Formats: sequence, structure tokens, C-alpha cells
Amino acid sequence: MTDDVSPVVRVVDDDVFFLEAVSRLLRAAGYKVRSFPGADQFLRELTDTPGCVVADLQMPGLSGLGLQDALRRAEYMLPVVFLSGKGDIPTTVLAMRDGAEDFLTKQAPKEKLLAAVDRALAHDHRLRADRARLDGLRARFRSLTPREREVLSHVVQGRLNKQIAADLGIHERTVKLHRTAITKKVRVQSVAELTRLVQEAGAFENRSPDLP
Amino acid sequence: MNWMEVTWPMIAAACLTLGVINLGIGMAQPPRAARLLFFLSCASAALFAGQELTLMRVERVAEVWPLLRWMDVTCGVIVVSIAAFIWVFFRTGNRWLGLAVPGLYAAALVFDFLPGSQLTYRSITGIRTVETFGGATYNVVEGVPNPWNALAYLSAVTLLVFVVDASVRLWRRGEHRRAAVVGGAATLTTLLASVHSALVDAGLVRTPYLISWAYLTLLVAMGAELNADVSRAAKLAGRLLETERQVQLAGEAGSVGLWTWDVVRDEVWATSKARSLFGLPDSGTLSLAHFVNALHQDSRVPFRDAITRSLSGEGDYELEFRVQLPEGPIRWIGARGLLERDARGKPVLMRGAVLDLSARRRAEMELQQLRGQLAHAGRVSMMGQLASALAHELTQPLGAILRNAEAAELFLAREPPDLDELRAILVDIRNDDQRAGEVIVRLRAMLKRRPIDPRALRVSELLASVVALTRGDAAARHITLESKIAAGVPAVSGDRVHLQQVLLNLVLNAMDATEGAPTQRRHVSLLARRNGAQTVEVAVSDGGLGIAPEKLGQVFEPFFTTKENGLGIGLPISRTIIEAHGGHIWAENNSEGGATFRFTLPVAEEEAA
Repeated sequence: MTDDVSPVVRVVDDDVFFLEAVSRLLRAAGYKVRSFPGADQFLRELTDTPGCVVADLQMPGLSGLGLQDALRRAEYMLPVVFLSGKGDIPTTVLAMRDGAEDFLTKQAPKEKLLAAVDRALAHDHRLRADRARLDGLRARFRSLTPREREVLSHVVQGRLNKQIAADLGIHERTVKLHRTAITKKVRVQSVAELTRLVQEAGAFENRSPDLP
Repeated sequence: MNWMEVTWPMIAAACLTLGVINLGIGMAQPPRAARLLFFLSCASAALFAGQELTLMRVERVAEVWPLLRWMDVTCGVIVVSIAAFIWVFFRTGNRWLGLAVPGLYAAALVFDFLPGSQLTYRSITGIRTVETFGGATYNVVEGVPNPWNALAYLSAVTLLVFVVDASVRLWRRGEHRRAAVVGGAATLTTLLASVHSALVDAGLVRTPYLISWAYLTLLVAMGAELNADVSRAAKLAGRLLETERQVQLAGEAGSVGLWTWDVVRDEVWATSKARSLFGLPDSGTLSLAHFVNALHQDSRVPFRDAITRSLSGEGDYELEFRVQLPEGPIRWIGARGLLERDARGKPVLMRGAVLDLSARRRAEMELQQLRGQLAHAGRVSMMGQLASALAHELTQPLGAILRNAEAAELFLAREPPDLDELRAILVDIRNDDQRAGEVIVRLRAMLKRRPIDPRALRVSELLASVVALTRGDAAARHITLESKIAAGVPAVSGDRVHLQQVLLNLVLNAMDATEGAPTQRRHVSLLARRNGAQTVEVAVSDGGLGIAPEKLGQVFEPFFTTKENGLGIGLPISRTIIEAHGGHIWAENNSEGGATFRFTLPVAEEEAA
């Protein structure tokens, strides 16, 4: 579902000449590029378009690390490749610990930069695929009726049909019908698989907005 | 034995006793002459008392003449010695009167020694025995008086006048007690003795001569005087002891040791504090050698020199030296001495105070070390900041140029090449290059921002300030740092801060250059000398490996460095500063190894004129 949108590399640097040079290189290398002369503009125009961020670590106003922080708090985190004028170790460590995709000096050779961007894009692609799968899964769970969800919660706890029927005050055969409906809707073959998917989708976690 | 035979010897004994006491005092300390003269008059009076007694016992006329003759001599000695004593003791008197006393008496004595003549009597008619109270008897001589005897009495009267005159003079000078007591007693003695003797001689009174009795007056007065002297001396001694205690106390409170060196006897008196400062025992006699031996061997020569200079004319001295204590530690001592000379200008005493400066010295050295470290740290941090600023400012344009070039390669590789993009790239590369250039220009302006403010500067102070800043560093790195200034180096015209920066840079470079060199080559020396009429040259030499000949010309170029962490900006900045002063800076290799950096500075105008 996201594969048809080509990824965009967002370049963020306060130095417009350097911004233009990097953007130009990435364009020449065949990427779709958007340039932002500051972290603030970038965050204002943040979209969920796939891609990655190439940002200067030292910028006036919102710095590279601040940008990464803001991204992390947003719904979806774009991978960030940092560029720095000087490789000062404490900042590097901080950036990497907070999940920066890569860290390069501004003089790093083109090959390194392009490789880092490729890695970041691949990472983004992978994240997005995972997210799409998860979204589908959740949609499947969302399609269950309240009663089916109720039965499911008992099933994943490993209870027998008879127990479930007694707990819910319904006939055992009705429970069997609900279970058949559930396996069909969620598209699973076994209770084991069902349990795994429930965990993956976080179907019964409180913070999930999809489930009561 | 009657009372007379007891009394006269007692008088003699009293005279002799006081005389000997005065002799003893006179031998021990000044004023010698007065005491010796008084002893002489006492001894004569004692002798005279004996002669008086002999005369009282004389029985044959033949014995009288020689006895009287010698009594006249003794009396003369008494008269003259009293005159001389008063003259010396009072340190005043009429000289002519004083000289007339012995003159007149000598003239009178001539008649005692002319053949067939005697001063008192022209002829002796007999000897009469007189009985007095207590049943005692004595003999008196009867005869025809000799008119020339008047000469002797004239001498006595002259003495009287002389003594009165001298006493009045002394009184006027303010020494009332001595004038009244000693002057009065001498006057009374002379008066009593003369009047009574004259009456005896004239035969008007038939008693023995009582000159020795009269002399008792003077004896009592001198005894009282001596008593006053003794009690005063006792009081002084007490006060002296008190003062000495106070001095000790003051010395200990201020950690000051006091000493006095008797130059002639080579004996040193020293307070216990002074002894302990030198690590010497608390008691026992000391000579100067004890102190010299206690010194650290490096301090012995300067110490001896200071003493010699002081003795040979300079007098007072001030000196710092080190004492090597037996337990190991070295103590810094500050000493100050004063020389005392006798009347002929010969050195007699040297007094002084010594103070323990070790703590102060240590603090100074620590401070210096700290200062050195600070300077070093400051330099490192300045370089670090500069490097950081430079790196950051330059990465932007350089990074942009790189990216543009890389992009250009990709655009060129396309078929057909994207010429519009390539043109845009070239424009940007040019702009970026200009930007990088501007960064360098700005940096240079920043380094030169402080304007040069040339003033007359003492080269010695300049060198000393840099040596002070680097000494700690040098000591920590076991590098010998020395600074020499040739004779007659004038003040230069320059900016102290800038020149300090240049020298500091050269010295620290030189110290870095000796890093890893063997100990005997780990030295850095500063030398300033005059180089022509208008120029002073300062050289900083090291014992390191020197500079590769092909690189000698490059060392002043920006960013040239041989050090792992070097920036290569110290020497270019130094050159900028020296050239702004109107001087030159250059580097050369020493023939014996190592390198020397030299720079010249103009002589300050007032000096050159």
C-alpha cells in the first residue's frame, strides 16, 4: 500500500550553500529530495511520506538532536542521518543512542553518504512494511463483533469451549460458531497462531485505541 | 700599742683597698686612666700614712732629714696624682693651672735634694715627745722653717684652685652629683691637708701630719661614687637581662633568629632560634665556620662573598641562602646583617637576624608551578578553541565544495551531461571557495584584533616574566631553563603582552623540542644582546633535534607543524607580531645540535637618543 509512493530524502541544514550542495548531490544520485533551511520548517511541513532525514547536527535554533527528539515524539519516526562539522564524541554517542540511523562528517566521501541514505531508506521501508502488516492485522481484529472479541479473549487464555459457554451464559455450540467466525475473519488456522497474532497486534492491551 | 699605732695603718689599709679596687676596675674596662691615677693617689696616701707614723716614732735627728725628704716626694705624688685624676675624671679643667701644680711642686722638691738642704726646715733644733689622750705619746720635730717650702704650698693652693675650677666647670656641664661629691671632697682634702700641714710646719700646732686623714675625705667620696656606679651597673645588668629575654621572645614570636659575630675572636652568639634554623646544637660556642658548614653547598660561596663584601666596605648586607639540614630537607633562610666598626674603622662586630623563608619559598614555587600550568592550560585551551572555531567555520564551505564536485561528477556521467546543473555547480563552488577564504581572513583579523601598543620595555623584565611563567612547566618536565642578558642591553620598544606571547610560544616550542632528548640536552636558554645601535636580538635555543634543513624556510608558514597535535599557527602569529614591531624573526640550527629562534626588536627611542 505504501510501495507506490517513492521515498523523499529531507535535507536539513542552516547553511544554505551546503544544503543546496547536498541536495544537488542526492538529486544527481537519483533520489527525490526536499530541502529545509532549518529544523523548524522541516517539522512544520512534516508529512508521512516515506524516506529519511539528512540533518546537520549543529544548527542554530532547534539543533539536530532537538529535531530527532521532536521526530521521536511524532507518530512515526523517520530515520535520521546526521552530518557534523566536527566529530565530537559525546554528541555522537547521544545521537546514536537516541536512534540516529548514521553519523557522518561533512567531508565524508559521497559513497559513504549515499550508502547511509540507502540504509536509512531501507530501514524506513522495512519499518513501513511492518507497520502496514500490523495495520492490516489490527483491521482484521477490528472486524470482529463485540461478542466474538469476548470469546477471543477467553480463547487466548486457553479456556475450553464448555468453560467459555458457562462463563458467558451461552450454549457451547454458539461458542464453536463464534470461534469459526473468528478464525475466518483473522485468517488463521490454529489457536497457537491466533494467540501469536493477538500479541503482535496488541489486541488486548489497554493503550490500543482499536479495542475496548 | 696605742690607738695611734692602730689608726694610721687602718687608714693606709683603707686607702690601699679602695685603690686596688679601682685598679681592678681600671684594668677591666675604660675609662682606664682615671682609675689608674686614683689608684696611684690612694697608694701614695697609704704610703704617706706609714711615713706619718714613722715620723711620730722618730727618735734621732739624723733620721728626720731623709724621712722628711721622702715624705715630700710622696706628698708631691699625691698632689700631682689628684690634679691628674681630676683632670681625667672630670674631662675638664684649666690646663695651665693643672700644669702649674707639678711644676711648682717639682721646683719645691729641688730644695730637698740640694746638698745640705731640706724643704721643710733649714735646721732641726730637736725632737719633742708629746702626750695625747688615751695616754698615747708621739714625737714632733722642731726646727727653723725653710721659706722655700712656700713653693710646695703654692702648688697645693694651685691644686685647690684647679679643683674648684674643674668642679665648677663640671657642674655647669650638668654633672652635679659628681662635681659636688668628688670635686667637693678633693677640695676639702686639699684644704684640710694644706692648712694643717702649714700649721705643723710653722710649729704653731704640735701634732703629727694628718694628710692621710684628710685624704679620707676623698676616699669616702670616691667610695660613694663607686657604690653608685655599682648599683647603676646592677640595674643595667638587670635591664639587659630583661631586654635579652624580650629579644628572645620577639625573635621566637616572629620566627626570627638573632646572632652576633665577634669578628676579632670569631665567636658567634646566637639565639636558640637562630641555632635551630641552622640545625646547630642549642649550647656550646660557635664560630662562623659552623654556620658556613651548615649551608647547602650552593649557598656557601654567595654567603662567604656577602660576608667578605660586608667586611671590606659595604657594611650591611641582605641575603637569601639555603641550609642543608642533616635530616635531609633544605631550608630557605633570609638574612640581614649590620657591621659595627671600632673608632679606627676596623670591623669588630656583625649583628644580624635570620628568618625562615622555607614556607614562603615553597608557596612561591607552588604558585609558580600553578601559574605555569595555568599558562600551559590557557594556551592549550586557546588553541583548542581556535581549532574548533576554524574547523567548524571551514567545514561548511569545504563540505559544500566536495558535495558539489561529487554531484558534478554524477551530472557529467549522464548522457547527455546536464550542463545547466554543472554551470550552477561551478558558480556555487566559486562562492564556497570565497567563503572559505573569508573565514581565514576573519580568523587572522581576530588574532590581530588587539592593536600593538609599543612602549619602552626592559628586556630583563620581559624575559623574567616569561621565565616565571614557564619555570614550573620546565621543572616538571626536567628541562633546564636559563635566561641571560648581555651587558648593556637597552630597553626596547614593544608591546609587553604581544612580546610575551611570542616569547612564551618560542620557549614552549623549545621545551617541546627537547622532549625525548637525553637529560644533558634537555635545556632551553634565552639570551638577549645588543645587535647594532638600533636593535636588540633575543634568542631562544634548545638542545633538541633541530629542524630539518629543507624545512627551515617553512616553519613560519601557517599550518606548518611537526607536532602531532600542533596547529601550526604559533610561529606565523609570532612572525606577524614581530614584524608589526619592525623586527625580524628567523630560525637556525645550532652547530652543536638543537635549534635557535631569533628575533630582533628596535631599541626604545629614549635609549637610542
